[in-house]
Amino acid sequence: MEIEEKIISEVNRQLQEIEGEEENKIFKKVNSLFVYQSAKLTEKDRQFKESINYIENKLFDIIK
Amino acid sequence: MIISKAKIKNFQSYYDNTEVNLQKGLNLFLGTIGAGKSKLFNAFYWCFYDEIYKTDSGWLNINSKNFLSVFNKKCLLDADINDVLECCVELTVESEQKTYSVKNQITIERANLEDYTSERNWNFLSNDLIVSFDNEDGNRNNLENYDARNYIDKKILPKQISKYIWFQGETLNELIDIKNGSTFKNAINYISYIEYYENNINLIEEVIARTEKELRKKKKKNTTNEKEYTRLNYEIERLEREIKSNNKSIENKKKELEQIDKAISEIDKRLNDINEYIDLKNKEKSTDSERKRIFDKIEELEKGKSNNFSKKWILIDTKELLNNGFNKLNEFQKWYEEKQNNNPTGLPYDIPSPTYLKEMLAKKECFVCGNKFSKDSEHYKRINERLEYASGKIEEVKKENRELLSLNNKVTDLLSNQGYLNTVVNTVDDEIKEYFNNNKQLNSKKNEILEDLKDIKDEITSLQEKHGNKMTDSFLNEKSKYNYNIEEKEKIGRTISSLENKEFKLRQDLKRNKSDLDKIPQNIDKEYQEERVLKYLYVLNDAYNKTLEKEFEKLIDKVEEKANAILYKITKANNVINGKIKIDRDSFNIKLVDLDDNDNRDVNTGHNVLTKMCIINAMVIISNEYKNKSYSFITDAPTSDLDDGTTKLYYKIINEEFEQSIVLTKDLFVYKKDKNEVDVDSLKQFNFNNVFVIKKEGASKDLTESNSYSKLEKII
Repeated sequence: MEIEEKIISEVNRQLQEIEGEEENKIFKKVNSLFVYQSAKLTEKDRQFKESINYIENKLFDIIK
Repeated sequence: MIISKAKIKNFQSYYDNTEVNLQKGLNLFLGTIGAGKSKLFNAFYWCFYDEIYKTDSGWLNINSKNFLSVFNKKCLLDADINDVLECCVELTVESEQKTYSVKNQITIERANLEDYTSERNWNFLSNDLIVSFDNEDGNRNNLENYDARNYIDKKILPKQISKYIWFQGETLNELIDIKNGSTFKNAINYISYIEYYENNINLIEEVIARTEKELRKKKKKNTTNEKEYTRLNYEIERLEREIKSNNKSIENKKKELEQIDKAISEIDKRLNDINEYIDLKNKEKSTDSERKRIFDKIEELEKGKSNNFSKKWILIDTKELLNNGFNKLNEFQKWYEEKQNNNPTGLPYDIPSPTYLKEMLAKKECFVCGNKFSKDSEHYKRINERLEYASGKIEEVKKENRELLSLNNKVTDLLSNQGYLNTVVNTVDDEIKEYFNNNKQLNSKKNEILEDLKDIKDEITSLQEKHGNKMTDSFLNEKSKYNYNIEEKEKIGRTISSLENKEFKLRQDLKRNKSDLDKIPQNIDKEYQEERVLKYLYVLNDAYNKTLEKEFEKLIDKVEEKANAILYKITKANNVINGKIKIDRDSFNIKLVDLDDNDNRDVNTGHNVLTKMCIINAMVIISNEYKNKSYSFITDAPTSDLDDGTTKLYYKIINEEFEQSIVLTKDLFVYKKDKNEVDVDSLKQFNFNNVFVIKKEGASKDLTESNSYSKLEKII
């Protein structure tokens, strides 16, 4: 399993108490967004500001 | 990641071209001191990161000012004016389904024929690092210098973790100091996957801060109390800036603290070395006194030998001879006694005495029968003859007697020594045996003491080379530095506490201001998208923090468990330690404890080294598994402080645990008896598949740096 998937699955364990399928979907999408960006940041594929801008752009599409 | 080939040209002790193929599993390079093991390690490291390791100096970055540090001395010496020389290391690396060629090269030109060891006399032409590989589309990609360095850092082996994965045995104490928990924490941060979780939190906190700021901006346009809103908003932003700055200060102070801990640890080591030096000097003195005492005893024994044995040695095995001799002497005395009582007439010569005979002749009368006789008678004639004979004979006998008497006296004298001589003869064999035993014991003791003295002197020399000859002079200075650093550490600790308290207060103020801001009513009741996003972000932030805490604890548990698993494999086989590794969860200090968790009091340098290596290996293995990556594990002289049995087991384990490991060591290096040839059979028992010997070759009489070079030979 890739490291991003491992981290996503660990964090999702903390989010298990959230009720509502829709809510759950949104949390998972947002979580994935952050985890993949943080992986790129850790592996120096991206700068911090680039990651922030990318997240902000996507975030408001996911949470309307 | 697998390094499949290394090509070295004119790098340090490797003259001209050297090529070596490497495999998966353990690649073992054996060599004696000075053969070129550390230089081979440097080749790998310099190729990737432009750095080499120098004993007692540490890591050295190679540039246009010190480039000769990587060049082979022989090639420098042989170069003529205007000759162009290349020093080059090229590694073929397989990683993530790509084959890379990583090549670092320095080119120089000889400017003149003066001192070849000085950079002044060379022209630095170029230093190029090139990473080449085939793209997915089949095109060859060649990255140079800055791009190449970045690529290596991102895609092949990040420099941050390199010192743990390609580690110099001499730097083990810096990498993991078991008494300085921050070194362990750093290692965790560099090597493990915790950074991913931390970056999650960094990103989400930044996004939260920006979203909140955006929300406040939007809400300001809709507020019922603009003045108060503006004031609170300003206050919130000021507090956020101050918290950020305060965090930065805490971070800086923690880094200072790390430096001070490092300094304290180094001073502590120097103080220990100084104390050890003083102890060694005292031991040297007392051992030398003992040496003198033994030498004196040997001299005394030798003198005794020359006094006694020069006389006594002649008596060895003479018991029979002496007995025969004394028997002869006794026989003589008996004969002498008998002779005293013997003469041809049957009567002693002096009976009757000449005086008595003269009287008889004068009176012409025999005093025996009473008859008188005349002068011309037969009786007179006979008595006169008797007188002449007796007088003459008596004189003769007297003379003979005198000689015999003198001889008899001498014999008597000799016989009086019989008892003494018998005793001497009886004891001389034992005396000689005792002498040789004493001699042997004293000489053996002498050799032991000389050996001890040599070891002590070597240790003293080693400490002097490390710290200079005037170590004891610097003791007070070091002690004072130590105390100063301890005080500084306490000050910084207090500063950090105070900054942390300040942060707490600032956050409380921030929370209160935000709450006050939220309480100011809006003109129009509307839902902002930012509010909706923040609800999700707050929950996620909380989840990230909890996950980080949980993962960190899990990681420490895993590292401890794996380190103990490695330790157990080694200690089970040869009983070096009866205990386990324990990581303190508050201080991150590491120690060996017994199976009941009590401190293990019998811990020595070898145990500590083994502990550190188990920890590092555990961290690397776990991290590789989690990140689904593998890096070649390279190490120079990792087992210098371990005994042979432990060394062998350690290499077996890293052979099993790492996809590829490259070990450079002088341990396990066994020569065949009385031959200058490696005992290959002694290595085959470990099933190591790729074993090389590094030899020093060149002028046999004078293996100086400039006419000798390292050579690799595959033996298994």
